[in-house]
Amino acid sequence: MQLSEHLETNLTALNARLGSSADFYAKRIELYRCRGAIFLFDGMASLESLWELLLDAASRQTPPLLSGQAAPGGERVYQLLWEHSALPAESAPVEDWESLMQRLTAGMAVLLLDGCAKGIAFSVQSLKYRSVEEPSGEGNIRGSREGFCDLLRVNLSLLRRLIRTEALVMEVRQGDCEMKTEYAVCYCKGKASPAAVERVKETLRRARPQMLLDSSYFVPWLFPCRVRTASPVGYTERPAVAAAKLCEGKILILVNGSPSAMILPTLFCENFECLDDYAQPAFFASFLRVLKYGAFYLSIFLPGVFVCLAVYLPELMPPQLLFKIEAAERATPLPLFAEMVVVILLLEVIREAGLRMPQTLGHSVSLVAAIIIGDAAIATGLMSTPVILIAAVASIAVFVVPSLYEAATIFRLLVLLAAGIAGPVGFVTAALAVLLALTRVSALGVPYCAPLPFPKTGISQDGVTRRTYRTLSARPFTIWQKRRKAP
Amino acid sequence: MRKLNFSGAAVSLSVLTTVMGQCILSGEAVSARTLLLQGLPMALALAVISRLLALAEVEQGTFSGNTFCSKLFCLLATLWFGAELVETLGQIQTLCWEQFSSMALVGILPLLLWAGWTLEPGVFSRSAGILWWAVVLAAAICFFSLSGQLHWENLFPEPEMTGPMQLPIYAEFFALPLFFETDGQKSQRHWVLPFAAFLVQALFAFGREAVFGPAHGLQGLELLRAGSIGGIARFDAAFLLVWLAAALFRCGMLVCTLRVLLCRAFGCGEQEVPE
Amino acid sequence: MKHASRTARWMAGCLLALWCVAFLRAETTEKSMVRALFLRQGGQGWTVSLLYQFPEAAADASDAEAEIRACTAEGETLERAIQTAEQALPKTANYRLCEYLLFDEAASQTELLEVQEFLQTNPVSRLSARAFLVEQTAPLQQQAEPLLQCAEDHAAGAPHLYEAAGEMILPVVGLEEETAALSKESRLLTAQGSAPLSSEETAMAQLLQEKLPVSFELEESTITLRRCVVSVEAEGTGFAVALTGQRKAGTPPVSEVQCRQLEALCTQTLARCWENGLDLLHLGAVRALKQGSGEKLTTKNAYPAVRVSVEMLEF
Repeated sequence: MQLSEHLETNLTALNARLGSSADFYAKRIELYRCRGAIFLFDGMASLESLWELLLDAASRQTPPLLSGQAAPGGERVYQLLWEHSALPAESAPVEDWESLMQRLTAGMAVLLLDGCAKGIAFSVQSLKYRSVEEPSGEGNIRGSREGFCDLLRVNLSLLRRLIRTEALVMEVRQGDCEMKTEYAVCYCKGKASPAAVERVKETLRRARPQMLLDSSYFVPWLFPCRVRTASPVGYTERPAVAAAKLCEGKILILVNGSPSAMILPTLFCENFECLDDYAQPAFFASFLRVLKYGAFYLSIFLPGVFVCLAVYLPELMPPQLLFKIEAAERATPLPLFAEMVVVILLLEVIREAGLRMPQTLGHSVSLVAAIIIGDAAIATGLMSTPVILIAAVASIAVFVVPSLYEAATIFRLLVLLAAGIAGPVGFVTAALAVLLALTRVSALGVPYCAPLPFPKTGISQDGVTRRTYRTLSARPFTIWQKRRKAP
Repeated sequence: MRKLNFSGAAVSLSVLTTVMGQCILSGEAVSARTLLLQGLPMALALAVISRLLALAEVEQGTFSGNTFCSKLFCLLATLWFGAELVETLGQIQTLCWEQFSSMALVGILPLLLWAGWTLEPGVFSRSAGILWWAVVLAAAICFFSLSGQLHWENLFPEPEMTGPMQLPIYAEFFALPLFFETDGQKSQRHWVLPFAAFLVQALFAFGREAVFGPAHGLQGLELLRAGSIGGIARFDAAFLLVWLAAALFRCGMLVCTLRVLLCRAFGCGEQEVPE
Repeated sequence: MKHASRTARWMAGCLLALWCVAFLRAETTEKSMVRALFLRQGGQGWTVSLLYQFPEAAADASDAEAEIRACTAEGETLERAIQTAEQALPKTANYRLCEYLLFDEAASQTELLEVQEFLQTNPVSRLSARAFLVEQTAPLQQQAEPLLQCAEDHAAGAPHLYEAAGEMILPVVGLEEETAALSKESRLLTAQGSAPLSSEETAMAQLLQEKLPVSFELEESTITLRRCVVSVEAEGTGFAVALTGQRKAGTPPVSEVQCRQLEALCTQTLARCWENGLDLLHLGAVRALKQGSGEKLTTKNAYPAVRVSVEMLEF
């Protein structure tokens, strides 16, 4: 709906919509002898900046009114202010209510003049936001310590600082949700596939999330499926990582209010890389990757393998270990399989509690939980040491690859249930199901389990092991480069 | 129209898995010498037939389902692949029951059939590479576990001739263009599949004879049980698990193939689902 | 329509769950793990002893103890005897860890072949299980643990059961009051019968089968060979056997006299085995490899001329 030419009409409408909000600020003013009003949200826009940059400047430059001369109308004042180069005005006028609300909620101040159906928005934002800090979820030894903050514009500026070419494109849109949250689609022209970019933009435009608090809320629209075990997207809170992914031709989605940037499409093997992977010697980096792969598969399969071997295939275990497990199971009320399920679920509860509880209580509760699980349960004969050890190792191992935590937890339970109920056949079926679930995933035509880089070679240059960065730089990688015709 | 676009790794894994299953479950041992003298020419002949048929099928569009003859071929292929599916399931169930006292295959059969029916061919192709690594690793461990028990002298006493041997024939040998529809070149490159199947058979027979001697009458599974490494004296279960994974994979592939063939035989217009 | 479809889906899901549950089962580890079988064929049938492990309950695994126990039963047939013995076990028997087959000292090749045939249809053990002879002078119940430990320690030197189809040299475990030890002598089981091998012949047979290390008590001293390569070549109508060995570090060097003694011992051992029906070095196969198909050399032929040479590597 268009704005009215009459200031009073606009004022009345605004007061009706926002008058009851404590932070809504509306002030009648006179600029160049024309009546107008300033609207802003207190705490988001800086009144001091507005006064200094606009009101004071305009007041001092108001020409004297000669006798008989009529006061300039709203349109005339609008033109004066619009063409005044010293004022921090937005490039597009405010012409309708939607645009007005968008600017106000972005922290701008909007000036409406009597006799003019357009308003001017001024960039006098003074938003309070969390500073650029090191993200807690992505640790690294070398490399940048900066992390995204919650404000979209600041995050975009962090990216712009790193990619100092005209190739970087960052398109900002408003999500079609109740909160009208802004989001940005970032990509590098010439590297990202134009078709993929258009497809992503169109999908996001059509998405109707009820709320948009994080980029991950878009995933059900980007990759619709009934059951999702693994998503071919990655997340990062580090601008350096995001910039690196953009240079590989990937698409980045940032949402206002969340420091987490979504990267798509992502490959499975990229979950085992980190920011300082390429800052370390190739040999050591390869060793760490092998360790990570081992830890990930250990986390998924260890409890299931343990139950399967102990119960159904004891010949694959050293006899010394086997009889200790048997002795333990005889002393506890639950069978091995059920005990393992209980311990794993208990560890998940402890982990979740540790994540959500106030930090002041965190240490105490962790200590109590460890004592209860580790000592008291064994002493009372409710649980056995081999089971607790295996479950603890599996639960810890997954944190080597935190980005795959959700998938690993679900897979672990699935494999354990299958191994416990259906024995070796169930274990193999579950393992095959995990494999098929991962290989089934693809995003924008890029299979999730594709090797890196393309085309497929006998041993990938940058896969489980990697070659020196100089060798890798000789053939820069983009996610869209042609690969050998493989499914 | 949905197309089957399996990779060479997937098709070869599928065929070699069932060959291995037959070797493991077989009780009568064909001597290595008989296998070499009779089996090798038969395998080569099969390979040549496979190649010639692949060329003809690509040219005629035998599995396209566009003509009546093509539909008939699709129907015949459905029956053959269906029989192979039943045979593979039988192998799996026999092994599961005898070795693990488990009927779990029957329990998961509906899930297996559903998975094979709904998954895209590309999923099987991407998984095949990883399964191949597991198979090769298992075979290497099996081989090293038998070191010290392979005696070349056991190959020498010549057993009595038992008559002509039978080389197993699989539908995959004659339906290569069906599996590699988007790449005709690939179907021509994989004409050596019968030879690869024979090679697996021959290696297994040689292994059995080198360990147990000729005319032993022991089941092929005993060869896997004979190996030992360090403190663990029995690896057959681990190898069987890897085989089981490959066999379930093969069943899924066969169901996927049957779906496509049935659709073409009965003219269902199924669209290829884009990624 | 939608509601009907959803109901149908739920019903199908429930049916599927019931189907899965019908064929799936969960087990526990509470079984009697049979580690070895002791078999003896007597006049009235078979006597079978199951050496099994059944640990006491202990939630803290460091307190766990698992004593090896034995339970014995007799039966007209081997199958009946095993079934009777299983009934005396505290829990269901599990044979997946049964890796050792122990036979009475007086066992013959026929017994072993009968057991082999039995195991092909009744997998209570497996054909690759290691076979031992046991010289029993004390009740088995008291010696179960040391007996099993001895079998484990010397498993590498024991033959597999599937070799019973041919001829085999079986190690002998001697059971005494509280110990079990591997005897230095062994027995040669062939179709012709059972023949004892002296300690020196046993050591030489192990050396020729490359089951090292091996010690020899020779006149001057005891020598221990850590590595040895045995090469056999057909030489005219006879054979040339070359043993190239390396002594164990820290042991005295092997003198020329001792090498000659080893050569004589090797010739003696080969001849003794040949007489009793065992072609220890597969001389028949070596001859067949050189001369191709034709008349095969077997132990039914006269013992061929074998020239043995022993050489020690001094590094």
